[in-house]
Amino acid sequence: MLAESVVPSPAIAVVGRHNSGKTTIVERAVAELTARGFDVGTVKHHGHVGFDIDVPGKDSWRHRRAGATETWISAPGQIAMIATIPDEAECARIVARMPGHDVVIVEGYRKSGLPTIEVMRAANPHDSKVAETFYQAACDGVPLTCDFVQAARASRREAPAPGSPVDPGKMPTEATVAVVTDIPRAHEAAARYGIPSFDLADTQGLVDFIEKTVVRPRMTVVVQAGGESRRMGRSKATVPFMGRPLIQRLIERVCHAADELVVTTNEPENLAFLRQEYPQMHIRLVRDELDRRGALPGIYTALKNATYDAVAVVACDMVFASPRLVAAEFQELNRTGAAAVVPVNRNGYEPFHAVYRASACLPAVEKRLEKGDARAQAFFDEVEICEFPQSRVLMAEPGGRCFINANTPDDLAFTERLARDEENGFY
Amino acid sequence: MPSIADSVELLQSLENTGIVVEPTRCAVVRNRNAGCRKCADACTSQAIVIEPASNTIRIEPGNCVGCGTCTTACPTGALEARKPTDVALFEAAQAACAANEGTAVIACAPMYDAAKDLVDSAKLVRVPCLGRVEEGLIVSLAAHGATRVRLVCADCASCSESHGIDMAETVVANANLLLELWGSDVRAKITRKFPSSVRKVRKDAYDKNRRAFFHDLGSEARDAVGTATDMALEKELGVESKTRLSPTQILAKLRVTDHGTLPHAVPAKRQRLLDALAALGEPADELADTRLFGQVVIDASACTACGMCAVFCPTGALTNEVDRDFSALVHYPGACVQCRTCEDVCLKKCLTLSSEVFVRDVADGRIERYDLSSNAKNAGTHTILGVAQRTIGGNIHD
Repeated sequence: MLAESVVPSPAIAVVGRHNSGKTTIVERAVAELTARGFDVGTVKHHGHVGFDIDVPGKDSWRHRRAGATETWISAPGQIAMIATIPDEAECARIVARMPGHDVVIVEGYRKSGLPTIEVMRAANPHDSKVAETFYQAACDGVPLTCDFVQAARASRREAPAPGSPVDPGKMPTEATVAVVTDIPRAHEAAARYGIPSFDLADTQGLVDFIEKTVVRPRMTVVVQAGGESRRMGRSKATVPFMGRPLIQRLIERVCHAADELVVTTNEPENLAFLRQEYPQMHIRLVRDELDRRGALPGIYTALKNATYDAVAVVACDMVFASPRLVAAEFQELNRTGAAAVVPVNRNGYEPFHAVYRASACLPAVEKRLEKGDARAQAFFDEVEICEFPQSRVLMAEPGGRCFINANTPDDLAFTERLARDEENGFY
Repeated sequence: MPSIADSVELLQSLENTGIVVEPTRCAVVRNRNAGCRKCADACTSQAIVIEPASNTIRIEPGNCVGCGTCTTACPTGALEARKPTDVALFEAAQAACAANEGTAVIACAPMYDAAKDLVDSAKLVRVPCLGRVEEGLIVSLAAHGATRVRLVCADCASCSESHGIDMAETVVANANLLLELWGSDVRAKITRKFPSSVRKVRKDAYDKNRRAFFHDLGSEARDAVGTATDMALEKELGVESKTRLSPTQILAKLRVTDHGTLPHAVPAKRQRLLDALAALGEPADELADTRLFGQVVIDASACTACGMCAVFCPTGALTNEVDRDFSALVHYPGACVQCRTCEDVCLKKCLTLSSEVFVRDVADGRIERYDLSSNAKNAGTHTILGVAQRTIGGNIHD
């Protein structure tokens, strides 16, 4: 898991009736995903009121008994929180508080709005009945969007057998993206609906499916430290900002969005200290690919050297660069499938606080470089650019100012004052 | 009383620290695009290492022979001699000049050491190399009663420290030009022989031999004590630590001031030169082409008033008229030291520096004013104020 990540985790819910074997499915899927190197978070939805994670009589339990509404239990290597809330927490809000995982698997929470994996087990009588109804609905061509329990009943013109209620709230719905079952008719129904189905024991197949459709792609964040710095008179990367090299500020900001952190520079030897400073980040220092200076060669170096396909490029003089904005751009890239997500405001594009898809952009970048272009925007006409408007920028980073860059010593002093004010709360 | 051996050891250790570096004044430390390499070019022992990529300058102690030529070459005062200091050297030269009836004699160390038995050490001063002598010293001596200045030099071609003669010739030519323009009859000259006035009478040469040795050593020891005291004082005041600052600490000292520029400092030697010239009186209304002063010429049709020239000018010869506003620049040729940082950092290549100045401008403190307010609008796209205002809307100072 990323340290204090701001990248939202994608989530999927495993749902089914009581005793359908959800926990076993989740347990196996988590073990397999973890074995494949993914970081997995889980949410267990407890349908009934009241549970205790700490043993009655223990200190934390006594805190709560005394009236504390939120209690954290912290130990080396472990942490837990238990809070008293008026209603039930929304699943989305819980997942939102679990950033930085490759995937979050929710057990239960059928109405969370998340995509669901429906579990039906033959040994569970309720599941057999649901599977039968599911199958009939599929045969009748009833869409998943409607209440097909009622629809099936109507088509059969008969009431369900007494004592075997089929809860319409616990049926597959339009949110169902896969079915895990050992009931042949459930497989058949899923096939009719065009939904993949997996055998109960087919953990590999299920995890392949989760990996392909749910697991968050990874992102390389590239901080561009190179450049001539003609107006600064010295390397912008090492110019002191609030007492430390400016690049340290940038790294400490954008690392919260990075699965991999790359610094591109024409003077790697001067930045080798970063590796000692942040050993846990495994920062890669990459020398500029081309001798030519300019924005486009910089982007080329970034895209060429990133391990992952999604590449956020941030200039090291963007004093207020925002990991939340990077994460929002990254989500938009995944959602739209665009070649790049680039903020646009009254100044035009902001190519140095944007996220690019290396596979889609590199050929166009190379082509424009061959033609001698040096502007970042030169290749924008040749790929599908998703423009990220200022309104969305402000949703991600309400304070704005993400694109302010320090070009001169005077800019630096000015941004330093802004940063100090921000630190002191005079926003 | 320290033994002779102790004294020698002390002198050697001071030899290594004879040149001090004030990095914040170095044009390249201030801006790595500055092309000034005057010190490194003047140094023939590759003792000065300038690394623009990391904005650093340093002296390789193993290579440095302590000739001091680099301190003469450095326009901005980033390199200064400590053994002796410029002021101590001037005072010693002035005293020797008075003892020698108005002829100031400055001898290079190899020459002085060779002729030690033959000359009266009270009537001349010794410098490691004539490259150590700068115009301010010559003009100051002239302004304080010297009638002529003689720089006595050994055979440089055979000298292992033949560092400074080219510099000395330039300095003498520049100093003589200034003396002429300021109406002084004093001239400096480089000679291979001591003036007869400093030669000892032959008959007492032997008798005074030993005395002269001790006198000489005594004066060097005084020098050493003085230098040691200077250093102790600097340490006390925290000045000495400037030679030991880390690159980050040096860069941190180069913060932009409330003027919107890096800190400026006119070198002390320039102050002394201007004071000495003022003491000589009014100059002729002539142009002078020297290595000392400069006249900035800005092509206003190409300038965007970005202000980079003024931001990085080491001495403040070129600066802004109003704080944080570069739409009006002023230039004072008397404070200009021809480091040419302004030319090197100009983004539009619309600024040139002429080495020819009207000496009256220097004497009168006349300032050239460039009104660039009509050009400033072109710079808006690159200043943070412009960008920040557009980015966050409205006035960012609100």
